[in-house]
This record gives sequence, structure tokens and C-alpha cells, in this order.
Amino acid sequence: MDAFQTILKFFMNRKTAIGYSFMALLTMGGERVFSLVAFRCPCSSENFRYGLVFLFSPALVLLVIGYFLNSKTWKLFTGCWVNPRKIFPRGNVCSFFYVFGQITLNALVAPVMWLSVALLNGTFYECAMSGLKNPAYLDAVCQSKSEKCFGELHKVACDKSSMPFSESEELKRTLQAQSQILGWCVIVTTALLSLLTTCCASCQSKVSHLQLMFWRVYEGTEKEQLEQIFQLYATKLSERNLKCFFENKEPEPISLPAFQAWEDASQLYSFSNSKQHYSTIHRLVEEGQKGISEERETMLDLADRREIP
Amino acid sequence: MDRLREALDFCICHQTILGYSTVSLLTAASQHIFSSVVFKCPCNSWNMVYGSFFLLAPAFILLLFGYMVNARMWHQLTGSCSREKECSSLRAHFCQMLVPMTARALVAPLTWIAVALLGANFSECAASGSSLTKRLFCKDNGTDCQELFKIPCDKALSAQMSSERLSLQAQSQLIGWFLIASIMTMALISKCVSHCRSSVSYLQLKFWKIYSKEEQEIFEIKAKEHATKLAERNTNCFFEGTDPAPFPTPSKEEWQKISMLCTFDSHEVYYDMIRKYSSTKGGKGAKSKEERQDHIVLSPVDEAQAGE
Repeated sequence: MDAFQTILKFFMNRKTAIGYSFMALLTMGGERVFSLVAFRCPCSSENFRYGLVFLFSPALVLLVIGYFLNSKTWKLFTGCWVNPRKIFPRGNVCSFFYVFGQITLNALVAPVMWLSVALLNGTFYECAMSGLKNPAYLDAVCQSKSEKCFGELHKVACDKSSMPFSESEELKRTLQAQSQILGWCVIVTTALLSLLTTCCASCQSKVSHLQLMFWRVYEGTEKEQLEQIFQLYATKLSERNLKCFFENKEPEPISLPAFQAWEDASQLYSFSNSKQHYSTIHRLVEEGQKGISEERETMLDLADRREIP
Repeated sequence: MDRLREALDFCICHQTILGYSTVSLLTAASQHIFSSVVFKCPCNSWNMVYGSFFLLAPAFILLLFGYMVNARMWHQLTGSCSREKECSSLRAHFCQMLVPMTARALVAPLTWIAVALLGANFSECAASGSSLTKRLFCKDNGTDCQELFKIPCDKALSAQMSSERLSLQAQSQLIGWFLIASIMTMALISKCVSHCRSSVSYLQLKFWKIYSKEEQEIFEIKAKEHATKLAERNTNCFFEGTDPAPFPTPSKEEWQKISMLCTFDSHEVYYDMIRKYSSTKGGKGAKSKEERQDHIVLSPVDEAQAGE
């Protein structure tokens, strides 16, 4: 039993890495399925549009799914129509864009993975670029080939052109090579940008490393505790209500937080440099209601970085 | 069950070596997959760029990943920009730390390059498009130069061109072996040098490493316990509308003291920052003669890591 516990602990410690690897494998599998089953290059003047749609629409869908699955999105937007001041609180108008930027960066992981896998495969790009009618591009690609290249490039992807086999093979290989080089560029740029932004954010952090680790642990624990206490109170309240309904009695009072307390607890949290509060509920409980409705302090720190062990 | 337990103990004892070996094996396997499935040499003027990209871009990406997963780097880096004035030796310390961190991050990229050179697909493609190969191969025979691009795609042409000279593939494999041999030699020399320069004895260094690991594990357990108690208190108070009971938690300065590897004093460095913090709190900062004997030389965990 101990052995299994140790193995489980090993995998739980690396769950971010395992999650991302799984996502990468899923993206690769999905891309293969798409390109084998669904993708049929039309080999006409529509190549460019068809290829681009296949390249970018799944990326857009993955971005939207990324927004959906991030709970911070819903925390940000719930109730914004009724009370726009929630999103743009007095004295801290930029916080909305900051949080939305963080959510977008997190959601961009899957689309970038799709794009890089699709470009490394080469099928979509090959189809798209063989239909591009730009004269400069055609000159560059058909440089040392026969005259037919200019008119029949869009048929190369389906092997239907009247050019000799070696020439059309070489054109296909060139387009695939361009696609794969572009794919590597995308991956290198993304990796470099994410390392640099993480370094900058980490360097400017006002919170020390170990306190940050503790904060992260606290956030996870508070979430679990909240769910448990929701369950407990919901059970108590529903028992009381149904009992009173069936037995036709007066309900005894159960104390629950007021509407304003719920509103205050649902606000997104920004770390205060002077106080040691680890969450909105922590601040609410220690300072009381008046602490929240005052002007917010300048928002310091902390990007919700993941992946930093 | 016992066998499993023994195997697990073995794995835990040698987890660093096993970790690096796994990374190397995964890199070699993925290089093989890339080489057979994804890589298609275009056999024209794009050869050089294409081959070099496949050889170097994944190595660069693996280097960046190596930096990203190095926890020690983030420990050093977090908050260092804003704490320059408190800790003047921070920059020097970070630069000194950068060398062993880079060495650890370089394992995967160098494995990729070595295996790619041994496999010879990428480098053959790149070499057949390079001007250096053109100069070496074409100095006596002018007509063959146009066909140099096509070598990776045409086996007969390759055999014909390399009847007297070493083929491009063989050259690439020689470079690969040379690279592996030189990396191994440099690794051995640097480990020898770092052990020689260590101001701590072998057994104490070993104890040091074990202590650091244990302290980290217990820190995580205690952090989770503390966070659970604090979260329980807060959520209960929120729901019941009561006033919160006072809860002692470390202040920001205390967190900073244990996080910052700021001390660069060559006379007294402690096993780890938390031990230092607890000993200065206990002894009210007084440095007695007895305490000095306890202290060991500088940057313990750096030395331990450099020695790996």
C-alpha cells in the first residue's frame, strides 16, 4: 500500500507536466485524425481559403474552450451587467484588463499547440500556400521550374498536375519544408516569450518565493474547505426547509451570510503589500465589511503563474 | 510487495540519475520519431536552413524547458529585482548559480544533438546544402556540384559521390561520437574540480543534501497543515458571521528572511535558510564561538548541485 502511495504522490507532484503532455498528445492525435479523415485539399483556386480555415478554426475553437474551462472567467464576468462597477472598480480600472490578459494567456496554450503540430505536419500549409496567387511568392517558389508551375501549383497537392513527377515532388517537399520551419519558429518564439515573461513577473514579485508557494497551497485548501462548508450548510438548510414543509412548522433561524457579504467574497483578489491576507475571504473576515468598500490599494503582484514548481 | 518496495527504494535513492536517464531516453526516442515521420529533406536550396532548424530548434526549446522546470532558479529569481538595495551581492550570487543551472538544463539539448548527429538524417540534409561541403567535394569535379542537393533523396547518387571520400552520413556520425566523448570528459573534469574546490568534507556534503531535501518535504507538509487550519477558520467565520480568533502566521519579513539566499558571508553559512532563521531567533543573533564551529562554508546547496 505504501508503495502505491509513493507512486501516486510522485505523479500528483508532477500533475502539471503530465497534464500538458496529455494535452500535447491529444492535439497530435486530433490533428492526425483531421488531416487523414476530414481534410481533402480541393486543388483549385479555393486552396488558400480552405487550408487557412483548417489551420485556424480549430485553434479558435480551442481558445474558446480554454476561456470556458477557466473558472476565473466566470468569476470576472458574473453579475457584470447588473453592476458594471464590479468590473471597473473605482481607482482600479486596469485590473479587469490585467486579469483578462492572464486568462487569455492561459487559454492560448492549446491553440498554439495545435498550430505548431499542424505546421509541423505540413498538409494544411501545403494546400493553403499552393493556392496563393501572390506573384512575388510564385516567383520565389517556381524559381527554377518549368512554366507550368505558375499555372498549376494548386494541383500539386493532389498529384494532378501535368508537370514531371520529380518537379511536383520537389515543389511538395519545398512547401512542406517551409511549413515545418514556420512550425519550429512558432514553438521557439512561444517558448522564449513565456520564459521571458515568467522571468520578468518573477523578478518583479513583491512576495518572496516560499510565501508564494504557501499562498498557492492556501488557495487550493480554501477552495476545498469552501466546497465542504457549502455542502454542510446546504444539507442543514434543505433539511430544515423540507422538515418544516412536511411537518407544517415554523422554521428555526439558520445564520447565513448576507447578500452583500457574498458579493464582497466573490470579488477577485489583489494582494495587499501591507497586510498579510491570502484571499478575499481572509481579508473580509479580518477587516470586516468596511475594508472592502473602501478604495482599493494599488494592485501589486501577482500573476497567476502556473508551472512554477 | 517486498520486491516492489525494494525497487521503489532503489528508484528513490538514485532518482537524479534515473531522472536524467529518462529524459535522455525520451529525447532519443522523440528524435527517432521525428526523423522517421516528420522529417523530409526538400533536396533543393532549402536544405541547409531546413536541416539546421531540425537540428538546433528542438535543442533550443529543450534548453528553455530545462530552465523553466528548474525550481531553484525561480527560488533565486523571485523578488530579486525589488530587493537589490537590501541584498547587494544578489547579482553576483545569481551569476554564480547560473553556471550549474545551465549545465543541468543542457542535458536534454545535448542528447538531442548527439542522437541527431548519430542518426545522420538532419545533418546530412544540412551538409548537402552548405557551401563548406560544396567547396570540399567539388574542388576537382565541377559537374557533380549541381547534384549535391539531391544526395539525401537519392541513395545511388550518394554511393557514387562517396566512393573515395567519407560519405556525409559517416562524417556526421563521427562528429556525433566526438561530441559525446568531449561532453563526457568535460562533465568528469568539472565534477572533479567542483569536488576538489569544495570546502566541506564528503560526508558532511552528503548529510547536507539529505537535510535540504527533508526540510523541503516537511515544509510542504507543514504549509499544507497551516493553510488548512487558516482556511477552516476563515470559512467558518464567514458563514457564521463571528469574529475571527487570532491566528499566528509568519509575517512578510519573516518569509523574506527564509526565502532570500542573500548571505554571501564566507565565514558563516548555514545548512539552509530555515535553520539559520530558527537559530538566530533562538540565540537572539549572538554568534558565540561554539556556534561558529557548527557553521560550514558557503552556498551549500549550490555546491551540492554543482557536484551533481
